[in-house]
Amino acid sequence: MSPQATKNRPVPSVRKYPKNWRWGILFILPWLIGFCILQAYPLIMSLYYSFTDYSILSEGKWIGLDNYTRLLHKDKYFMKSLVLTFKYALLAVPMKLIMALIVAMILNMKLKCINLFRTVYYLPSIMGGSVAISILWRFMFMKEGMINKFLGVFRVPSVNWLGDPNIALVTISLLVIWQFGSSMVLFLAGLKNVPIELYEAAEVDGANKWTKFWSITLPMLTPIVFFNLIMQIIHALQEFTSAFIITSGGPNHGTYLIGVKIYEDAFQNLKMGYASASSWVLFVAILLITLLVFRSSSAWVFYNDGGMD
Amino acid sequence: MKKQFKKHAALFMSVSMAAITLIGCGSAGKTNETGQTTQSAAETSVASGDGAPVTLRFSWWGSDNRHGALLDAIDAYQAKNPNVKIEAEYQGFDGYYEKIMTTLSSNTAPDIIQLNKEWLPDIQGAKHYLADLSTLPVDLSTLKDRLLEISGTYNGEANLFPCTVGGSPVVYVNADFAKEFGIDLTKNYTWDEIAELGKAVHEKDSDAYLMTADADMLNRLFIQPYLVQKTGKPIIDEETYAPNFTEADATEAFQNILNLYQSNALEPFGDAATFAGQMDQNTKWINKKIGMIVDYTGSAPKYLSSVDSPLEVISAPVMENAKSTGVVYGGDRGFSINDNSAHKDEAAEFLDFLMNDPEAIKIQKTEVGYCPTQQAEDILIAQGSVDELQKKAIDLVAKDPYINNMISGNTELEVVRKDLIQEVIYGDITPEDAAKELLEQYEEILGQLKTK
Repeated sequence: MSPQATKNRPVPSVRKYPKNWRWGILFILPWLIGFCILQAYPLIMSLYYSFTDYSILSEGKWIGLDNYTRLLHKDKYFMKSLVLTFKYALLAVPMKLIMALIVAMILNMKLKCINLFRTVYYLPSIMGGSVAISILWRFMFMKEGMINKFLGVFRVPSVNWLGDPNIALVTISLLVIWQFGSSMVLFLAGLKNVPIELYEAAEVDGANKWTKFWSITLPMLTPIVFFNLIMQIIHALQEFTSAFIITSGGPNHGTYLIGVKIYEDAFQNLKMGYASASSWVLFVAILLITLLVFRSSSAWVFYNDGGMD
Repeated sequence: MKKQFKKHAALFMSVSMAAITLIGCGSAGKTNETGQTTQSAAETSVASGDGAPVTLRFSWWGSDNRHGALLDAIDAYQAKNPNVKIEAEYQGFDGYYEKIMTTLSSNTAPDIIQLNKEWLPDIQGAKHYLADLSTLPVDLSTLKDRLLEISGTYNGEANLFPCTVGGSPVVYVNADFAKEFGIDLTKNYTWDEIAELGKAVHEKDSDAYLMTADADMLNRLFIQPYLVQKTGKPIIDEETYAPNFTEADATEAFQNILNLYQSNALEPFGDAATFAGQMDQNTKWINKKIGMIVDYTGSAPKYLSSVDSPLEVISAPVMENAKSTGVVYGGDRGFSINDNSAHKDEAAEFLDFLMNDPEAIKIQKTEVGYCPTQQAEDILIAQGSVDELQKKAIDLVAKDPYINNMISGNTELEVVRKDLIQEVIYGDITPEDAAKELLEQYEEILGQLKTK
């Protein structure tokens, strides 16, 4: 909040605790307990484990920074899978947002049965990252699967969707792009909030549709683009299910996302300490990227009420 | 007044939610307590011989056939022992290893667990998780000769009751395919002959391939046997933890794989990868466009049921002047008892029934495994429940096998091989460089394993 924005409002005395703060604590207790046991504790323990050689089956002993040096210097798949994960995010996130925006704009028009369409387009997100959909995806994109059969009708030569390491990553991204529902709903809400006067004024000035989108719709939507971008980047960098179920990281590590690597190290190679170290590196990477996007936001995000500097 | 009521109601709900959260987290501790009380109860029941109610958890992986057979055997046991209740926890192979490892470490593992013998070093090497079967009421003497020693023993202790006998590799052949392409099934092929034959097949029908395999199969059924054929020894020495093969041997083994792909004897890797772990469902195999699959003897039923054509089984390819057949024979899978179980004796009694009781054998047939005991073989052959193809496959591997050791089956070593195989196939790395890297990585991993 900028100083201008808060100036007009009465400033509450936030420094003093309200006298019934104990009640407040009591009310958030259910969440607090869940948070401590299910999130804070594992988070702290995984940091500790990352400095040990803990395997699932035996107690670990302290090995200092060994896991980290090994990760960065010796493990030829770690950097590879980290880069691959960024590639995946770069592919999936923009496509998903563009898709969500386009569909949101269509669904913002005055059409018959519009609520039905909105529901239908949201459906993939409900089925979402489930294992069943991933398995379905595998069957659809097989060499002799439905997609290739369909392409065959138009005489398009069949594509090796899952067998070619370079294409497999795209195939997996498609699954996530298809699940644009939650971003779409947010865009839709944003679109509803764009004041109609702006469009009317622009029309009077003789703006065409494209100019209206570029100079009114998009700037007004930037706060939502910003929110969606952050959420989707975080999700994409943690992607696991699709890469694990559809291709199990293969072929030839073409879809070996960092999430799959962490899982394999922890549960198949029984190197929980090592996997914890990887996830901490990933955590820091996600944190840095998120901060970077936040930093950049002042340059491109437009708040109607002057909310941010 | 009203406000006060609201506040209290909200407080009540909040506290009860917190309580629920706490109960959820505390339940593990609670069951432990009851576990201990039942443990003492169980001890007295064994001592006095009365039938206090006991619940056992039994976990395995497999296909529907195996699930059905084991569930029937459980029913039969429960009918005979009304005080024992057996809870079955079964699934496919995917994720089973991970699940069992996690439950063992968190002390929530089942009482009776199906395991692969290769996992024994991982599990038992970490901690004494599995019970010594020789101290429990289960008859181990019925097992076929040396089976327990080869496949069920770790550190001189009997930890696994092998539930199957068999080996690998053998080659399943679609007889119709063989007729169509004029393949001679009486001879024992060399790797080079297989490559030539594959080339001829693919030239005749560009849609057809002689064989197919996924990364796991290439590793266990091609690379490993090849190295053993070359050296005549298991790939890793059990005493020194050093590889028994040289860089040149490994180069040759990788080159052999590459030859099979370049001559089109093997279906392109990317196409086969979609069916990883379930090659019997490969559409080309089902449609008679693939004629041979190299696999374990235990896979006979699944290949039989996947195609309409009759199947044949032949010996795996060997190299010229091989020092060994590269064939392993033994029991790769079996049942163990959780050392932390509160009911080890009852679990052992159930295991004894499962493996040694004629009734249980008749129920299970060969669905759980192929006759680990002579008794099972006699009963099932007399009953006519032994599948001919499988029997033939087992006779092939039993002829001239080599004895493998546990360290050669180490998961971490396998992962390295599988990664390198794929890099060679996709041309990221030459067979020479792959061999060099293989030995470098093995040196490091084996060094770590040795210090443990």
